[in-house]
Amino acid sequence: MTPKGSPFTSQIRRLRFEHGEMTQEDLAKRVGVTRQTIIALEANRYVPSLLLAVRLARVFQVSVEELFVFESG
Amino acid sequence: MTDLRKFAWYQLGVIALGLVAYLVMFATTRNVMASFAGFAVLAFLGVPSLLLIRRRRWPLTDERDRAIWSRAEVEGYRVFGLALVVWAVWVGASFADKGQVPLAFVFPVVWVGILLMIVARSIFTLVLDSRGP
Repeated sequence: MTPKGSPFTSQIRRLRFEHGEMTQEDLAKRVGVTRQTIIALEANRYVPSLLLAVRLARVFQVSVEELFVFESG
Repeated sequence: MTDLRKFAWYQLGVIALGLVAYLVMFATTRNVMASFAGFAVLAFLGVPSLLLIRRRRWPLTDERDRAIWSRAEVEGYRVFGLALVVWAVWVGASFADKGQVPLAFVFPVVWVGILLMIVARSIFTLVLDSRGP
């Protein structure tokens, strides 16, 4: 859950714009979280649960690995 | 502002009100023990939960809120435990020769401990909400 030194980089912001400039509010409603959680995810300040990661991936029709890029070895 | 953040600010506000009530009562009565009645305003801490009882899961709206709350609660209890240890050591050292501790030094520890725990929990909630759990 720690944001500092998180090995993941979220692709949510890019994917939102690629999906018709979906708003953070719309995305939050679709996955059942608050807009603040989407903001934190986009800023890499929060590592989501597996359930939320899968829900987000399904919205954008990508895999979880594509949505959260694992950067460190 | 998230519901959790509002709740944290509300709790800090009620505690500030409790301290003001205590100081006002102490200024008027000059009685340390009687002035603790001022902390009765802490009953307002339970008002949001009573009013919003029908709103499911309030104020923890999603998994991030729950993560923040859990961490803040642990830190709150940690502060409470630390304060209790400091108080016990201080009381032990201060009254060791007398063999007994006056009630005036025992009774406030409940109020002060609860206040410290809630203040620490609320501050940690606000910090973690800004920085991430």
